[in-house]
Amino acid sequence: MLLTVISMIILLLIGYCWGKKVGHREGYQEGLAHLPLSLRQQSLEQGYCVLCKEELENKSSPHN
Amino acid sequence: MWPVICEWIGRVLSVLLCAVAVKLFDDFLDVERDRKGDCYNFTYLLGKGTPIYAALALALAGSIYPGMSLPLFFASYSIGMFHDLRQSFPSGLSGLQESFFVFFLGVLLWGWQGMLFSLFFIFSIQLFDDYLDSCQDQLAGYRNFAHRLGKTECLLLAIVTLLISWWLDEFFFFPTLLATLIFYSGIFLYQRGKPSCY
Repeated sequence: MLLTVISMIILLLIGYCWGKKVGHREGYQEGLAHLPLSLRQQSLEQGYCVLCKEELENKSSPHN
Repeated sequence: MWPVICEWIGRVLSVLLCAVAVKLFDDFLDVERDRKGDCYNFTYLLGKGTPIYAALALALAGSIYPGMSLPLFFASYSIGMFHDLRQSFPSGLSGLQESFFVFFLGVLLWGWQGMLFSLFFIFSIQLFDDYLDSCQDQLAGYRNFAHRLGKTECLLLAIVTLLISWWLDEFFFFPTLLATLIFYSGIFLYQRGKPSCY
């Protein structure tokens, strides 16, 4: 009985660590894909580039 | 019935005194870190006498029930080295070497079962302690097991190692667990409302 509980918690721990690692990798990829869009949106809303503070004139983004 | 009860009380008392000894030795070594982390430390109260009282508590624990308290002390020493595995100590050995040396010395004196039980139990307590103290240790700039492994992993590993120690030795597990709970409750009640540093 005790050994079954120990095995179950070890499996839970392995699963948690594996899931966390996969989640980190996928989250990083999603973040990389989302970052340029987010920066462009913020720059357009603010009226200047949020990275270099260059004023936006008629361009959609200074880093096009 | 009475001899059994007395033996049980003796075992609990022996583990309790061993816990006091380990706590005082640990506090004496970590006084600077605890000052930075704004944590209470018994060295503020006992001063230079801290290791003397620790040695006295260990001698009492060893006199009451050596078969339980001394393997626990050997295991605490061995686990205590885990944070400084590469550091060189006055013995000329690295933390890893000293940890292995003390563990095998314990095995030679107290046998595999007692030492393995003690090692898993103390490691579990260390993990629970690191899980609970993760914020304070972060403030002191100290990376404990909760920071190295992650908080959830640390908690799950603590539960696993505690259950393994139970599986290894049912006879020693419950008195040791009861003494640990009494000790932690006592520490909690004593430190509640105390100023962190003097």
